[in-house]
Parts: sequence; C-alpha cells; structure tokens
Amino acid sequence: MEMILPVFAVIAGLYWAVNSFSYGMWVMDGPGGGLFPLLAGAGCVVFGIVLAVRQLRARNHLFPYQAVYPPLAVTGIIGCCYLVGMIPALTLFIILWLAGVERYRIAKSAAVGIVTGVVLYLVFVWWLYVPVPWGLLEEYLY
Amino acid sequence: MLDNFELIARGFALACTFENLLAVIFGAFIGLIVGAMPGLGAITGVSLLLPLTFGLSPTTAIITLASLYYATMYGGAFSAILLNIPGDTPAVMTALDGYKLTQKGLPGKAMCSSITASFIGGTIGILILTVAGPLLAEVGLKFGAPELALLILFALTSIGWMLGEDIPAGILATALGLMLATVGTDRAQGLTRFHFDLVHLYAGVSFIPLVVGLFGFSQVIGMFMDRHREQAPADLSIRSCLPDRDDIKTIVPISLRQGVLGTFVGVMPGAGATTASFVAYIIEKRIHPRRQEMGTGSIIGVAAPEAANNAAAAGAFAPLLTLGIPGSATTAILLGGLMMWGLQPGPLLFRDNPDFVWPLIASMYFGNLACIVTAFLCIPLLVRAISISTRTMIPVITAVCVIAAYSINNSMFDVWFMVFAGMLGYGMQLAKVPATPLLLTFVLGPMLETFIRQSFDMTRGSPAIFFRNGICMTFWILIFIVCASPLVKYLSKRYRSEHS
Repeated sequence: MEMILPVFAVIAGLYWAVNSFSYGMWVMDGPGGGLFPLLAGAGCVVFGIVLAVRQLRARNHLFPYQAVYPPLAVTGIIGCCYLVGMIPALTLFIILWLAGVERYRIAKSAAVGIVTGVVLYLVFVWWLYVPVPWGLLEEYLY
Repeated sequence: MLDNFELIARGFALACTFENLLAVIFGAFIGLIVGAMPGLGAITGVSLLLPLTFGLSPTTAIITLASLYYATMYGGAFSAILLNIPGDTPAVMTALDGYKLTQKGLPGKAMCSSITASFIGGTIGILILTVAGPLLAEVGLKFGAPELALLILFALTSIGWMLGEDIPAGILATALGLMLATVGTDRAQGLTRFHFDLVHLYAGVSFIPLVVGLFGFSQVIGMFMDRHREQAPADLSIRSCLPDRDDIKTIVPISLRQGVLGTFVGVMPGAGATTASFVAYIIEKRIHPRRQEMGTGSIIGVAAPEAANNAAAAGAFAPLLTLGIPGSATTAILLGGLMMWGLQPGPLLFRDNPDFVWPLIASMYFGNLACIVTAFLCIPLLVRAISISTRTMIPVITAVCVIAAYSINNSMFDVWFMVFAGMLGYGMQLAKVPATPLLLTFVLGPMLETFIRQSFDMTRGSPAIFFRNGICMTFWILIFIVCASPLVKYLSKRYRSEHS
C-alpha cells in the first residue's frame, strides 16, 4: 500500500512533464502554460522515485484491503442516489453500515440514520436549497 | 483624527439601535453555523443571505452581511478542530494542530484558543480599519502583480519549515499540489490543461472536494482501520476547556502580531483570509520559540491562523469601502450589494455617506463580541459530540463528506473527486507524506503563475519589474534569508563541531 502513492506520483508526473511541452514554455515574452506543469511533473517523478526506492528497501508491502471499504461504500451511495435520491441513500447507508459492519442493534442504527438524514435534509435542502438528486422518487415528489 | 473619533462615536450611536443589534446577532449566529458546515463558507453564506436583506435599510443590511462574513471565520475552525474537516478554506491550517489537540483529548482547549485568537485578531483588524482604513487601502494598492508574486514566492520558499524532517516526502507533496493546481483553465493565458476531456475539470479542481477528501474522508478511512483501538478519553469539563494563564500568555502575543499581519494581507487585492492564515502559520513556525510543538497538537498552530484570518476579514473592508475594490470573492458580493442599495464605494463614500460607513465599522465591534459570546456558548454542546464513539461517527462523517462535496457545484463528479482525494490522502498518510505542502501549493500555485505572467506582460518580458521598488527588494532580501539560513546553520554547526 505504501508503494501506491510513489508509483502514482511517478506515472502522473511523467504524463504532466511530457504533455507540458505542448502548452509552451515561454510564450509571448512570458512563461507559457507548460512551465508550471513541467516543474510539477519533474518534481513528482524525481521524488516519487526517491520514495519508491525507500519503500522497496523497507520491505513492508502488506495491503490493508479493509481500507477500500469506505470508498466502496461511497460508490454504493452514489449508485443509490440515482435510484432513491441522495438523502434517503445516505440515511440507508448509515443504517446498513451501523447494523452490518459495526453490529449495532437495528433500532439504534435506524435512530442514528434517521436523525442524521433529517438534519442533512433540513440544513442542505430546506435551508440552503441545495438541489440534491431525488432519483426515482422525483416523479412522485413533483 | 479628532473627526474620526467624533464620527465613530456617532457610528456607535447609530449602530446601537435595536434593529442593528439584532442584525449583528442574527448575522453572527448564521455565520457560525454556515462556517462550521463543511463545504460551505463565507461566499455561500453572503450569497444566500443577500436576497433576504433587500427589505432592510442599507445600513442594517450591510451590518447583517458583514457580521455573517467574519462569523464564518470563527465557525470554520469548529469542524476543522472536531472532525479534521475545515468548514471553510481559511480554516485549513487550523485543522493541522486543532485536530491533533482533539485526538489528545483536548477539543475544548483547542476551541477556546481558536475563539480567543479569533476575537483578538478580529478586534485588531477592526481597530486598524477604524484608525487607518483609507491609508491602509492606499498601501494595499502599492502591491501590484510583481509584489504579490514575490509575497507568494516568499510563502513558498518558507514551505521548508512545514515539510518536517522528511524533505523528499515534503517536496513530493508540494509537486503533487502544483500538479493538481495546473488542472483546468490557465488563468494567465486561458489555455485548458490536463482536463482529460472532462467538462467538470475545465474550471480546475474544486478546492472544497479536495480538502474534504484529503482531510475528512482520508480520516474516515484511517478511523475505520483503527476503530478497535482505544480512544484517548476527552476531558469535557468546562474548566479544562478554558485556557489557563500559560495558554493566555501564548495566545495573546501570537494573536497580536498575526492580527496586524492578517489585516495587511486582507487589504491586498486577491490575497484574502486563506493566504493570511497560511502566511501566519508559516511565520509562527519560523519565529516562535516553541515552534517544534507546531504540527503535533499545539495551541500556537491554532491561534496563529485563526487570528490572521479574522483580521484579514476585517482588513478586506478597507479597499472595499475606501476604493471600491473588493479584496476577495466575498467582498465582491458585498460590493454588488452596496451598488444595489444605491451606494458607490470609493473615496467619496466616507464623505458622502458617513451615516452608512461609521455604523458599519462600529457594528463590527459588536459583531465580534456577539461572535465570541455565541461561540463560547456553543463549546459545551459541540465538545459533547466528540464523546460519540468512533464507530458511530464513521458513517455519519462519510455522509457529511458526500453531501458537502456535492453541494459546492451540485455535481456528483465532485463526490467522485472527493473519494479520489480521500484515497490519495490515506495513501499519503501511509507513505508518511505530509498533506499541508500539497494544499499550500494548490492554493498559492495558480496565484503565483498568474502574477508572474501579469508582471512579464506589463514589461514585455523584462524581469526588471521584480526589482522595481522597495517592497520588491524587501521580499528578495527575505527570500534570500529564508533560503540561506539552513546553509548558514549547517556551516556554523560544522564550524563549531570542528573547533570544539
């Protein structure tokens, strides 16, 4: 897992450095649009390699696979947003997470989920008029 | 000077009407809530409240909006300290030490330090605005593109003190920040760069989804991985929250000097409260006798950015009122409001509309007082939230991160980007790469690029513009000192060891 960041930095840095030349380094008596991306890309490549070598020497390459659970959960929320809408999706997520992952009682999970959902609705939708997606519910609401 | 005192006394008399005092308290209360909401900030708050003030008199309306504006600076620190999710961009630096204090079981102390520093910084800003507002605005205008480029260059050269002991990791974070900053339309030439044919990236990477992901969502992943670990018990008693004599001795001098600095940064066009808090943190990291404590959970790292960003919020009113030039996006909205009410900000505003300007300045003192009282009253309630188990907080914070990222542009793309930033942040935690240099260059990089380009455009490519006056030369000397001091330190250490 520690290797992911340096490898990402080297690949992205190379992409930035190579493409920066197409934006020009010195254009019309001033620095072109490619100068800063070149500096950033070169920095990422050089120091990404330094970190990658250091991580390789450390020989600590265990992948904490559980770390992908929260990002996967958010991916699920985004999918659900298109079906049931954002606020119900977030409420459902909290209830399911607490009951399924944390093994809370259903009643306690539902209470936390519903209270959070109501607070989010009141603040973001009712007060601040954020047009959150309502998914298939939209047809019934409007 | 005597005239000014007479006018401010009259301003206080006018500001003390029931309607204006109510406006101050209402603005402060809403500002605290909006500031504390991750993803929302002063711009959102002022924009939302602006239409609601049409029915009020211009003085009461601007008092409400101004009160809301600087209350968001107080509120932004709340979520930064308690959840590691900065409520607003100026609170990013507060999260560094504030959240570490919460992890140590001292959330109340962090909040009290933040509020006290905010109050002192804000008061200094308002005092300077009262006494030297017009003069200050003229000084601010002496900062053109080359001076601002050198100011930012000075801030970036000082980044060395934020990198920590691992220099390569710090420079990698800096390069990553600059890389993200170059996504989207180049502000200097209008080129679109590195947008991967995604229309959402044409305007660049949104700051709030990046911050929410990098600080908030990465924290959720970290909390999830460590959720069975024992939490440090938080001391929730009121007595433990209040700063002791030593804390006050630490906070007051920092707040005084950063209040002055923040006011000057706030006056500069385009700099704003975020730059002020970054510069304040960097300077304290450089000069404070206990600077090694910063970054590990110290009230120094909370007080410095909070004093500076509140002072900058007050300082931003100087060019707005005296010259009609907004120093930031929020003051630009306020300028629009002033014009809608039939007022023309500029040198004549103080002469032609004293019954508008001086009550506004006077109301800032009341507003600052309302903010500190409301914020202190909120502390016991907010600190209680910390006693909720980490296992319960994980899905709740995730939900807040999702809706906060979405609400900026009402775009699901920002939620995806927040997830990406969260994974990047967690990867950085594992690889022991600090996130602060990334944010610093992400904020300052585009400004530096724009100002350098503008400077060269002004002289058709001559670098002589960067040496055009005393301000430029002062910055060059500061940059030289900052860059040379590690070498001088190293050489003097070597000399001493050879001769001992």
